[in-house]
Amino acid sequence: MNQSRRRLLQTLGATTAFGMLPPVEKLVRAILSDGLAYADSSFASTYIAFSLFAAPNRWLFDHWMKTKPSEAIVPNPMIVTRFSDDGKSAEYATVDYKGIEVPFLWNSKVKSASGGLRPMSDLLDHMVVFRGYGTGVDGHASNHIRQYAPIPSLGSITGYVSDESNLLLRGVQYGVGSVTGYRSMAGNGITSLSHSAAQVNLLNNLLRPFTSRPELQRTESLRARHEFLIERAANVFKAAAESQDKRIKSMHQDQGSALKRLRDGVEDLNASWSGLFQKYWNIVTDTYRDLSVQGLTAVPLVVQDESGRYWVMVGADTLRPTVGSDLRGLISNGEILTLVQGLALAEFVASRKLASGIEIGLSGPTGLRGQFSSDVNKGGYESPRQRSFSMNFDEHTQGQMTSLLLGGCYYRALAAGVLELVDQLKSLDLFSRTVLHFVQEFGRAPRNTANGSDHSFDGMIASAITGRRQGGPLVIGNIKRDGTNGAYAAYYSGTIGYKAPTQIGSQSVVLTPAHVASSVAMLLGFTQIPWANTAQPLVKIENSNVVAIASGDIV
Amino acid sequence: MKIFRQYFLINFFALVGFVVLLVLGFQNCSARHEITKSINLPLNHPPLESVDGLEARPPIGDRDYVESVFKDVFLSSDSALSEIQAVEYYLNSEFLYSAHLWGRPCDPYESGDLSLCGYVYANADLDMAARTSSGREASRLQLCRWMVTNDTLLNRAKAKVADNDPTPNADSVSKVVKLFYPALEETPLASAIAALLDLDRAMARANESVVDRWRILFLTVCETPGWVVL
Repeated sequence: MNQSRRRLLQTLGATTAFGMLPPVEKLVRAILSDGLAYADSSFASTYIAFSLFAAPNRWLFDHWMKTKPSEAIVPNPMIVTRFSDDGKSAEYATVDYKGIEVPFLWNSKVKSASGGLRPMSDLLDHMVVFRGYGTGVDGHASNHIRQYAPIPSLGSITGYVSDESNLLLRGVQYGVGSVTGYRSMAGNGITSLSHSAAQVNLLNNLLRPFTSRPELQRTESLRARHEFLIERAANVFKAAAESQDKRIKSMHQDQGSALKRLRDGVEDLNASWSGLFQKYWNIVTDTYRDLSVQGLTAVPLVVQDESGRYWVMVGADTLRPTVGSDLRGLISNGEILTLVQGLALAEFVASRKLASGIEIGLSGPTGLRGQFSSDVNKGGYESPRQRSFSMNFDEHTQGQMTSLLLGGCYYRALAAGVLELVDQLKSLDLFSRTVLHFVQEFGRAPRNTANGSDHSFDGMIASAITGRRQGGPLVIGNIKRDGTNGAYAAYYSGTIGYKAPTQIGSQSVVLTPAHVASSVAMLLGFTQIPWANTAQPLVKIENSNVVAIASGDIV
Repeated sequence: MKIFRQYFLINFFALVGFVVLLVLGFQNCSARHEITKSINLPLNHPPLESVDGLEARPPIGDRDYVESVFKDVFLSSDSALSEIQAVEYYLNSEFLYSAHLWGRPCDPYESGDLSLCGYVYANADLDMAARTSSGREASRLQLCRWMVTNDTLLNRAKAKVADNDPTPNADSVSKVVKLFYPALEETPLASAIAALLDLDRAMARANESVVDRWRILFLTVCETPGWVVL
């Protein structure tokens, strides 16, 4: 009896222990598969990220609220997408594009490189929008970094793309400065360029190691005269070194490649840069200043009153434009240098296959000009004052009408430039392996008082444009139908893009930047997705097209 | 009752064992400065010897090492302050523009500035070990060319190797090589000297000036990448 009882116990124990194994095995397999099984192609992609520093409102561009005809939204006075026909008010309006309701702005046409007009909506065919996610914590820098590196110890999107690159520069950064999310797990650095004045040729800095230096010409011509013998002598060193340590072979290859580039020279960088700069300058500036856009600039936007909906952020001040003036005067001399330079640099780097990871830091338009009658905090002026200023993307006190005008013109210019960049990528057969990622710290929480918007770190927004997506836009991420959670709910009401649990299969998940990063990694064709154990991708590749595997509803 | 207790204990220990395994599997997988290549996931820790490319990469000197070699070769105790400053300025300009090529991280929060990262925050986490690239080599070649183009610096270097004979000879050429390769073994040293003397004779036949013959000798040795290997 004892023996049989022991045997029973052993059997039970074994059965139980092994009985636990299937779930354990399943768990381990699930962990592994989450992390490893997203392979669909070899890794050879280009990643171009545009950071809109300070987080402007994107309701009229890619932060979509109502996306289905059957959906109803609760209005908020800041979330508007077009001016009324008389230019005295604004409203939320959408247009249908291949079954998705998108903001009215997408109905417009923008300038093309040929000088003609083209539909802005051409971009929508390749667009994936991520909304309704957040970190729960405020802060410009920290939230910006988390868009690229949601788990800092696990590297960043650009870091991975650059690490995998065998291209000359691996990764390039422009105007990103201290708020960088770049993290290489291999310890690789990145070529980083600063925002520069219009006359600066960024390519000279980009390719500095390879460009000819006038002060060295004497030695270079002397060297060129005896190159054969110099290289013959160098080969003796090479053979001696490689016989002692085979690892030095890689250095000799790099040195040979560098010598060849220095000898052959790089292309005429002045001609290349001026051509690219001028092209994007024309597209961006002409589109930005266009005064014929229905619903945006086609009719005078006469300032009706001194209410907060017309407030303009001018530096650290909040000013009231003069009643009776045309608000469109703000943009008449506006220019967007960082966008022009960023697009030119992105096209150069991508088309020459110089780097796989490209981060472009964008700031607001400059050269804006307005006539103001008073300062909201300091009182009225004796007579109206002219002020020139740059658009502050952190639109805390940018009123409804002003925000719509400045935002609308900016996003049209952005779209026009990006369309040209996409054209170039398509012509080189690179677009199908490229992801353009539009990033910023967070969404904006629109004030019920129509006089500005604040940080919506639980109503984040990002979008991607990629040749891997065909056939129309995708929208991913559930948002709340009305308002926010917590103490600030009274200030920001309506359908404002605040996060709500999103359905991924049978799971209900609150999305974070890691979900977006995983999704972008999937779009890029990562064979392993570093954040997948924490946050699975929200898209998958099916029949050579990107499809959503998560909901995008108002709930 | 006892059966249930033992049944419970077996289950309990199986559960504890599983938890321990799981914890061990996940721990320390996110260390930043391990020698890793690209994406390493929890439960996918690559063994060190299998890391792709590790064997093919020689240990090379970082910017401090390169700077010290250039200073050793092209400056001397007699160098004027202006010479030293000129060399440091050129080297630092190169390092500043291309900090990411030269290796060694910096800590902007400790040093108070970003000079060691070329004023680029993204490069604060550079690998401790510098690594070769064609960009780094191009940058190094430009430094070599600048050093030998400057006659004052070239004369400083020449003074360290030349005896009474103003033209290069076997002894002085040997010293040129040893300035960059102090530990080079006898046989490869002899081959190198022979090749450099051949080069110099060809230069002489082409009626190049003596100073240009020295210039090319120093440049040829400087351009070889082997002296950067640690």
